[in-house]
Amino acid sequence: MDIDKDEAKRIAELARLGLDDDDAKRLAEEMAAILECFRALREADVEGVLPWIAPVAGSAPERPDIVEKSRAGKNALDGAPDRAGRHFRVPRVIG
Amino acid sequence: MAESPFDIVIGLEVHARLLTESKIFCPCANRFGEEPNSLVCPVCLGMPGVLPVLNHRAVDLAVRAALALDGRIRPVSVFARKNYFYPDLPKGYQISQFDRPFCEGGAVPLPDGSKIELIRIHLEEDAGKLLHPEGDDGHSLVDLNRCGDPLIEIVTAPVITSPEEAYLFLVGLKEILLYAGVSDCNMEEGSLRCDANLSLRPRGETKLGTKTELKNLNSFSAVRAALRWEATRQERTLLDGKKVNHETLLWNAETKEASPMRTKEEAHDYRYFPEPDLPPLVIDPSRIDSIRATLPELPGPKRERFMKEYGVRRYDAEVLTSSAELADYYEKVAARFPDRALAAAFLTGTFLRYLSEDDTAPGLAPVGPGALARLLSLVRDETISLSAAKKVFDVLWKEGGEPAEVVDRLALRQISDEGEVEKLVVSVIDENAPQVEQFLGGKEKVFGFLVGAAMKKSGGRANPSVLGEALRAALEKRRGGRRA
Ligand SMILES: [Zn+2]
Repeated sequence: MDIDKDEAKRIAELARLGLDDDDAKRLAEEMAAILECFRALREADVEGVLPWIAPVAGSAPERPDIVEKSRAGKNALDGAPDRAGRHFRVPRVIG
Repeated sequence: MAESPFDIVIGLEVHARLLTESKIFCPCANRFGEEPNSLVCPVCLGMPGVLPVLNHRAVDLAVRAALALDGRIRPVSVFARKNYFYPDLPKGYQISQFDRPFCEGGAVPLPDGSKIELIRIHLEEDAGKLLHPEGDDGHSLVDLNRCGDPLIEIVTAPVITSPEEAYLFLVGLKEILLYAGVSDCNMEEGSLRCDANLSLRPRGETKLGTKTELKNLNSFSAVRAALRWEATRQERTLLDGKKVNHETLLWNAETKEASPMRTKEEAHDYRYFPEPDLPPLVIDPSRIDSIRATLPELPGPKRERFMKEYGVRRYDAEVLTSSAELADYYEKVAARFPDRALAAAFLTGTFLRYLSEDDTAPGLAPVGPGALARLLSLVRDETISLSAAKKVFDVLWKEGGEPAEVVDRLALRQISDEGEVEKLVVSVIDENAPQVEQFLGGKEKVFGFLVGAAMKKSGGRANPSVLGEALRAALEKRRGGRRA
């Protein structure tokens, strides 16, 4: 897949990053170079090979269903740029 | 309304919150209604460097739901990141399942014997809750207590053919989830949420039309109303020769109208990829077997058994099995009392009315199945009438006590003694001479009046059949005496 300036801008928008034209051009080239490296992998014969999901074998470890209290909420509110009582206050996205 | 030239095609996505103590990937409490942002930790706040660890019970409950819905459990399923930026999601992605969900297939039976097929069920975490306070237009308030609560998402195939069928599906699904004990399905608390999509296609066409999505459906009746509204809107659009736009609509339960959600279209590009922080979920066959072994009898089979075992009508069986608790209550009464039809009638009528008036559950009802069985036995052996039984029930419900003792205290014992009824009949005939004359003159209707008068005189306690017979016998005797 080729990455041009418009594609770079679309990806940036999904990530909520602001790019000017020069940034977009430079990033498009860098991303294209990265994808070029992956293209080499396409040469490999993966017929019958299951997709690789995780670097460890076995199932996801599971923890017992036990509640633990955390003070993180208070700390996070204290550190938030804006709050209203016990709520975080953020710019409205829709509505 | 003329028959529509279109077929309706509906698909539903239902989110059910699992009944765990803690969240799906962290040990914060999974609880509704607490102080905002009090049930959060670095994991569900999306702090850098934290790792999710899967809740064992969330997996058990999800498997339980899948088995109750007759789905196929995938031995190895994969968590995936669903990426989007929104203030209710501090990590910037939701951990969900994408191309390899833990369950595929499944179905919900409908009352008419048909089935709504499911495509899949997957596990995921909930997002936080946003408030948009009035008077603070540029801002939203965020509560992350819900963020990370364990959900299953149940996705139907696009096979539902009417808003009514969608409604019945939801009722049936909720019954099964409640029976299986996997979710409390409380819609006011957001434990059960439903999104719908709807498209129309010319009758007989197999290709699907352009669908719209409906959100903000806060009750089953809202789902039905919104789908009806949207089907009508799409039909008008198509008949006008216009096209239906693929869009998301928000239902407004007050105005009973939907309006397009204002959102950026690229938000739909979720760029799913396998969650690198979680290995695949491997569900062992022995785990599935042991969960299956603890599944209770489900509503469908229970309904059939009630009809067969207790001889109750289909409608009564449906009402009695609408909750596992009510069904248990009925079975306890039926075990102690042989007239199953009377027990069914009393439970589906009086008993359910008292339950709903007090907003309580069968298991918490102040009149237990033993007391109710003893009360109904008094009706069956004609000690009291059915209407007297309702008075006694009211006292038992409000004050407690023993049925026979309440019957005596309220002097409700039915008068079945023939001598006593005879006396009643004689005095009623004496006191209503004009009506008796009318009856003897051939006005048969007056008989009802005389029965009513006698019943009233007895304080409603006369045994109706004994009374009716005695009164008719006495009147006929007079008629005969006159002829002689
Ligand atoms: Zn947490």
